[in-house]
Amino acid sequence: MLTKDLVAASSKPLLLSILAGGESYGYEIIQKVRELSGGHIEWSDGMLYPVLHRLERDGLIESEWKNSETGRERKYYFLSAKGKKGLAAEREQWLKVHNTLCKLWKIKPASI
Amino acid sequence: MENQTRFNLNAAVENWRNELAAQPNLASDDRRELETHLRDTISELRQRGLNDEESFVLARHRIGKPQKLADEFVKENPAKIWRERVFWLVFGLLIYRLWNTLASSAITPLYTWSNFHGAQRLEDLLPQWVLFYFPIWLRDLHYGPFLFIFLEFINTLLVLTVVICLVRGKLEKLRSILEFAFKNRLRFVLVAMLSVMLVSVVGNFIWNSLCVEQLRGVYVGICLYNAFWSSWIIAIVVWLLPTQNQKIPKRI
Repeated sequence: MLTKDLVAASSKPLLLSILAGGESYGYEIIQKVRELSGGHIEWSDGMLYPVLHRLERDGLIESEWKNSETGRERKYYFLSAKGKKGLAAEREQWLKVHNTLCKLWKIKPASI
Repeated sequence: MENQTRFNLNAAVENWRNELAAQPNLASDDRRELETHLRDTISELRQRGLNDEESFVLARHRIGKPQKLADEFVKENPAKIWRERVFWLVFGLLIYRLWNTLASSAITPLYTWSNFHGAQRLEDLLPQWVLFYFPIWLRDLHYGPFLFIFLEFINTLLVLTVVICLVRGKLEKLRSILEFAFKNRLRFVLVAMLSVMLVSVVGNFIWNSLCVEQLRGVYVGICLYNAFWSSWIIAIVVWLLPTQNQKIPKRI
């Protein structure tokens, strides 16, 4: 399991990356993160929404209430133009950290 | 089995919704979003074979206690509470000023003085160099007994401008400087009282430098007297704020 600090720090790039793949809603996002991380990143339900709202306030994502296939109304989030740029910046920074650590630990770094 | 037939899922969700509604920091849109999340979780758990009651209890547990949820929302947006408090503070101040202007217009020495001397226009009160900045139609208007109400309106306009700037997030720097004043209710009340006193004293100096010579000094006593009472009114309003008893959590 990740530490609380790392979970908080990684929430922004994770959310932006998930939404870069298409619009989504809170519940689905949590499921996706759990699935992709193999259960290592466990977001609490209550923590996700304030983070989404902060990203929305910062103009990185936008939201809209829509009817889902099941008929239930859900608030869908999607990436804004500013969010796309924000994601590129986040990606660059995280890969820098990743590559530095890879060099230190003498493992093969990911391509940038 | 008996429990399962007695359990009413909709009533349980309704109860939970009411608990959320009791949290002042959660907007209706936040609550609606959280309810959708709760219902999604319940649906998933039911698909896994849990009954209504088990699904509801587990989903509620996963989403967290309403108080804790509200705290999480505040953590991400502490300015929201801060703005709300300032709003109530200014609301109290405005109500007090309005009441004071209307109620005291007949009895305070200033008003008696001005009525006696027939101050009906701005030029009866303000020197030429100040009048210069007013549009001509405002200068020439005969306000009659409404002159002081008009001045009060200008005063109020200044306060309102600052508040609108605060609420729209234009003065975020000022907010972060004053953050210490919003850590808890008692501290906020003390800072609010001191600020009101300070603003009144400074306002009094400004008034003395702006008004015509005959009026200087007349206002001092009333001003300090008003400042004292306004600060108590503010203290009471702030004490009764909707967000009472809530310490603002530190931002992560």
